[in-house]
Amino acid sequence: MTTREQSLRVAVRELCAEWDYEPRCDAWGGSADPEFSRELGRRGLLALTWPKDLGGAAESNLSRLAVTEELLRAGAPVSYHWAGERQIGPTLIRHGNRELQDEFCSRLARAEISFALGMSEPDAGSDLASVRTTATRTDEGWVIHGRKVWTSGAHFADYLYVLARTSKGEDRHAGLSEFVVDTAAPGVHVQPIIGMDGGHHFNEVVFDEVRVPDRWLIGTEGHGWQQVISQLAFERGGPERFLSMYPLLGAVLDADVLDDTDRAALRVLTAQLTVLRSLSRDIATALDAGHSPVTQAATSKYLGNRLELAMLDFVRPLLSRCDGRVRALFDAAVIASPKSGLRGGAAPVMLSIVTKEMQ
Amino acid sequence: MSTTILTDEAAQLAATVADVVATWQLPAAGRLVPDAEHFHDQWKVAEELGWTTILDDVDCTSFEGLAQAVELITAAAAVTRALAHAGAALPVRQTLVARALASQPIATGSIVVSAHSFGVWDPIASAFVGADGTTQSRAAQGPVDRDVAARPVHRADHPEDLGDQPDGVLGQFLLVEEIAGAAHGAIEQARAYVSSRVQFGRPLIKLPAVAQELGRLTIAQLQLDEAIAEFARRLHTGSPDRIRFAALAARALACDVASDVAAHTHQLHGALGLTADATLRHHTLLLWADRDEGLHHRSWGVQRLPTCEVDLWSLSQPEPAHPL
Ligand SMILES: Cc1cc2nc3c(=O)[nH]c(=O)nc-3n(C[C@H](O)[C@H](O)[C@H](O)COP(=O)(O)OP(=O)(O)OC[C@H]3O[C@@H](n4cnc5c(N)ncnc54)[C@H](O)[C@@H]3O)c2cc1C
Repeated sequence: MTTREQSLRVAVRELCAEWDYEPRCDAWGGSADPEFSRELGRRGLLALTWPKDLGGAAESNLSRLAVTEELLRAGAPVSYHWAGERQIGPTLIRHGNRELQDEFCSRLARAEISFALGMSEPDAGSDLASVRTTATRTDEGWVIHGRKVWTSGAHFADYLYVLARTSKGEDRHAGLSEFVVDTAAPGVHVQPIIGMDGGHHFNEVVFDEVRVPDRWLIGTEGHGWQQVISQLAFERGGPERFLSMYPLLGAVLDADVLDDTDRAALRVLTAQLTVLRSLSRDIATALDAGHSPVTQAATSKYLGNRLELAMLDFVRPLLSRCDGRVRALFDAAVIASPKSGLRGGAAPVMLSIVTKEMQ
Repeated sequence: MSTTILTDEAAQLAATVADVVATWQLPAAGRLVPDAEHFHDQWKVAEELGWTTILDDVDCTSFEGLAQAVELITAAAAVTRALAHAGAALPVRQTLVARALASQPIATGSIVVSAHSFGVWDPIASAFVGADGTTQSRAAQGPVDRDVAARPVHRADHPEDLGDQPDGVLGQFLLVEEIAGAAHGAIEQARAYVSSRVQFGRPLIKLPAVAQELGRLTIAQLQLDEAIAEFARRLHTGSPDRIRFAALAARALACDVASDVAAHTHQLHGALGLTADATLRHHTLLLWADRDEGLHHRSWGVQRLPTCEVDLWSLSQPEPAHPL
């Protein structure tokens, strides 16, 4: 680890120690604490990889990994800035024009605004290329019409990233484009979809003839598919795909309740964790080298899902020896557990990506 | 993805091993490996090409010694992996470690073992190197027992903490490389079979369930390779505790992957894979045998596992250096 990575880790630990919050599993998909995100921004812990003139620090993805790992380890309330900092900023930097970058990046880097991701639709789940939401060109810009589902955090987001169809043709992958949409714009209707834990996380977002200025088209019209694919490496390749349940594992270890048989079961679990942290580092290094490691990201996400489920199986028989705090973490983790095999692309689809590469 | 870290030289060595072994006749099914007609000729070739003496000058009694010899260890690992990839079960790995441990030079040509061989090849070894580096000559031993891979074995209880010493760590490193090589070879064989075998009017690999099973095994292999790459990095720059943990992690995964790959490559290979003529068995038998080598205690390695969150976090933190 470089000195810089080490100092970033220490900085995150200091902030988490000072902040008043309850460590949670799946904190990046949980309720938002904008003030926590803003404090991260004030302390220079967000947007590390972005150019300095866009509010970043022009540092490496390895530096960013040091921060994200420590935040997830601490189960800190990071959902307000997560999607925006993880993939919207990098997408705008990679594909957007300067005007678009100037308009959003610095505010995202300070966590002044929050983004939600409008990709999935009722008929476009695993098969994302079948999106039906349309964006039609007008004299002043674009008009978006359609419907997105499972849009995490759209109820507190200021903006949406939207994948929409801008032309129809033989090739389903052609004719897709990416846009920024203001959630307060006339015609945007955000409706809650209540989760099985009774919580409000997901939304359905209806776009009823929503006007979008031309400058909010991200990148090139019709290149949305290629652009979104490179975005997926950021979305899938990070440590949140295997560290969501880590606070539970950490709490159980610290509870000092393991006997020798339990410890033997820890062998493979810790090995898998070590491998995934190493893979994550490889992915960050590949991103730093300008690659888009889509297959590696899919591998990491697939293995991450398996590790998270295995962590629950490891903890389950120990619960009777643990206190109420650990049991509460466990219950929340169980309810959250199906998420990791779905969001960002279903686990069997990740396997398909790796399989295709291999054939 | 960082699979095995190979220098150019080690990669060349691996290619040479693959070329040489491609022409070898492998032992017939059911026969003890050293009873095969060509065993002694093949062992001689391994000796003559220098595969068994790579680690002669390595000081494996300290972690500093191992760190200084990473390129040689990488070369030894490349040979071990390439042999297993080709399905060849020779006492190269065991001899490499024993020779590194020996404090006095040993004549080439001998099969040499140490406690890190866990009794495998012991019955036909001509020398045994003790933990203190002293070498004892060995007379051929009585009735020969065999392991699953039909290698001669002398079954005995082994000290539980063997893997904690630097020489034990070296032994573990070559063992997991052997498992990775055999797993890779098995997956390749299964892939070749399902790509050419036509059922339901098309090659089996066109069936999504078949392709996905192969994909799953490939991911298992990648996971093991990543664990070994991390182990290799730590050998170069890690502290003893982190090296020992990486050794444990790689071994634990290697055990998992060995069973998984052996069972499922046979599944994909159909009944043909179970025949004496099929070459898949050279890989899967080695996987099963290596999987259990030296692990006679249920609680193996647990003393190297973290006992609190802070230790878990620091032990699982990857080594940043990619020295090679
Ligand atoms: C917690 C959570 C948060 C989410 N947040 C967002 C968000 O913010 N924005 C957004 O756009 N979307 C979001 N999603 C949606 C997510 O991207 C989709 O759930 C995912 O892409 C799968 O689509 P689906 O649920 O429609 O499953 P389907 O496409 O209906 O698939 C169902 C199942 O079929 C199997 N399957 C499908 N295709 C294949 C294949 N090719 N090979 C093998 N098996 C296959 C898989 O088991 C899959 O789980 C979120 C989902 C969850 C669970």
